[in-house]
Amino acid sequence: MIRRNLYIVGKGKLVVLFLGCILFGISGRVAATLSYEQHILSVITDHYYLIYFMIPMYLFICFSVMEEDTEIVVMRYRSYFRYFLSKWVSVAALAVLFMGIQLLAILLSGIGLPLRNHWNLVGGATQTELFSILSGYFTYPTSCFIVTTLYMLLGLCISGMFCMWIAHFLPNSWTSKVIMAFYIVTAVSIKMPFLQALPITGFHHWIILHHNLTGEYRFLITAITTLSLVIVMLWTAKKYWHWQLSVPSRRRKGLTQYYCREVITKKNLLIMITVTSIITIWKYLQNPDILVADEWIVRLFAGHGTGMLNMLSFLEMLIINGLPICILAAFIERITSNQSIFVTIRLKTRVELLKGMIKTSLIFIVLYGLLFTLIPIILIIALNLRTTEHTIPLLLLCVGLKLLDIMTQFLLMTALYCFTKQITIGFLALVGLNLLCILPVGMSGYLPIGLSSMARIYLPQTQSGVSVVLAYGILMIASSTIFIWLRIRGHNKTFK
Amino acid sequence: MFRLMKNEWKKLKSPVLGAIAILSLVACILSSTLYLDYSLYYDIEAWEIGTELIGFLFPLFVVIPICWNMYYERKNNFLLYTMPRVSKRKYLTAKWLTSAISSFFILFIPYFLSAIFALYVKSPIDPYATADVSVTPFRHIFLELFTQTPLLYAFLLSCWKSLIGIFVMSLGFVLSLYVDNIFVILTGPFIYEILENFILSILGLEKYRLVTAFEPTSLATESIAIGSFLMGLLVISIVIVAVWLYFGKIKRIPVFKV
Repeated sequence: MIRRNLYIVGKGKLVVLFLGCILFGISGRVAATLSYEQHILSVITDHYYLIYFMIPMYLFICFSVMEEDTEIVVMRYRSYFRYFLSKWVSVAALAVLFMGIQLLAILLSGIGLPLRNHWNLVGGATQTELFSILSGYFTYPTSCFIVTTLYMLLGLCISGMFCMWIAHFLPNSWTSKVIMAFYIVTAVSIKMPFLQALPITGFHHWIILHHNLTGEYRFLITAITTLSLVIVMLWTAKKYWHWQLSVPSRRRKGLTQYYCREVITKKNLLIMITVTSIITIWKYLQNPDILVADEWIVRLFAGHGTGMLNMLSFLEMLIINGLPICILAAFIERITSNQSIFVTIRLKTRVELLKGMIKTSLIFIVLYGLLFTLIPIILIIALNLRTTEHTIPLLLLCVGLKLLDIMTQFLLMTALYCFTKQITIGFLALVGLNLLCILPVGMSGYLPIGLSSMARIYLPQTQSGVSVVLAYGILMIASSTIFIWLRIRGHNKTFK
Repeated sequence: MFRLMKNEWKKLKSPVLGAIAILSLVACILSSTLYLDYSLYYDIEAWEIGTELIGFLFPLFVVIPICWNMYYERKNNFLLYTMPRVSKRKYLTAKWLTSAISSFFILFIPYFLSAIFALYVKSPIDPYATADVSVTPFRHIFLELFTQTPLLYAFLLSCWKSLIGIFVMSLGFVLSLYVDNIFVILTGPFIYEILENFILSILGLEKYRLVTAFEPTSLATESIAIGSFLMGLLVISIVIVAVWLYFGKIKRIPVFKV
């Protein structure tokens, strides 16, 4: 089994590991002035290297040997448990090999540095913080290095077993998803303090020793969860090996599902992601000296005021609000003009057609809102803008208004479509209504179309405009009125 | 050819004439009312203010009354029956020529008519601020033409705008040859104009927008160059060819479905 798995893994991945490790080692060496012992310790405790390079490499190797063998192979081991154990031994052997290569690379990368086996650092090195923690537990860097290495080996063995266990008990399509999710928790947790505070154990706790030394109970938590997990894994592999967790397949029935497949496509999502990213980034580049996230969010959702016409911001508002509407209009035109006869036959009532259409579109619009929440958050984190306690509520408030606005516009377009049977007329009416913002403020200030523009909302900075509550009220009333009309009378007007 | 074009004209007659009538009415009313809120020096400036909005929406006006035709002819298989009678190339050429002439007049008549309205029908502007002219010199593109012979200026500019209208209509026409979604056909050129306008604006290349070529007064006079007039047309021509290559040559969608 060991030999076979080695054969499956092949030399390529191990060579990549060796090269990557050497590169990391040398780059660490160039940057700092350390002794040989300190250097090897700093490489093996460098959690960026470990989490973003070594763990993925190891998981990658695990993935290639994880697949269950055929029944004939399993039968030769007489029981599943014995098969599981021997497979685990082979994975452990892989882990030993893996660690060996890594060790070799690390030791090689440090050759030529002076030998000094103590904790004293030349001032200002990046490792100071970490070493001060470690020196509290170990007398020498060398002993620390050995313990860390052994701990990592143990961690790799357990991770390997965990992957095997997941692969056996979950359906094939879910294995990689679960492991990826687990890895993502690991990968993002070093950047997110609140995740670190939670008592959960990730790959990094198994593999990186010093991640367990942060809190008082952290090591205990890791030990207990790991022990219980290992016991559960062994026990289930012995007693319940014939079970397989079957995940109930999602219900893929009904017109809404059918339409969702039409409209929530990769292409449409890509278009939306591109446009939202471009607009958010452009909004930042316009005023790169903004440091507070709140101000930037208000600018992002500023839209266009009333009583004047500024072409650029009007176009921006038109694009932000009109993008999902455009995609949906094209979608409605497509499904209604080329509707398959089979769909018509399977419908029980005409209402269903309109219901499916509106439901799908609302799902799509909500998706757009999610995008418009996520991308600004990512940008705020990436640019390190200063956040206050109002940032997230403000963002949600803006996105909520935007969603309501887009929904109102969409429902209005659908209602017009029901009357005229031409989606283009609905769309043109929306463009016209958006243009009404050039009317004097008194008349157009309360116009529901485009009311999500922050420029029209009362803010402490601007001291003018509609209050947020009133804006929400207007949009709610407008959208629900059209919605109710569509539900009661709309279907009579639609479709022959 | 002439007979074919006459045939095509029969199909397009009512929407095109309707569009011309409505647009002329709107343009004339706007040119002879909107200017009242501004302090102006010349009568012809009222025309510029009145037709500002039309400049933003013009892709809709030239595409919607015309490009529906091809879509429905493809959809109801009318094209199939033309095939034995006339060559494909000849039929499409006649159709495009008729469409081009129609789109030319859809823009030209309202623009020129509203210019005449602004110059001769509405009450003349009282240039009460002429004393200031020497202090802040009046700047305008083609200044001499604009001030001395406003009618000629309006005529030339209307012709130029209508020419751009033909290009925009051609984009819609090419779309209507291949696309099965009438919404995309009718609003495609408009969406193109919005996106082009927006992207070039955020890149700081306002002077190369199609809208700048259409409305040279939308920017400060200094930043207008000869490239401003041609660049937008060049880009839209490239887009038209790209659309044609993509659908016709790469995806190989037949115009005449047998």
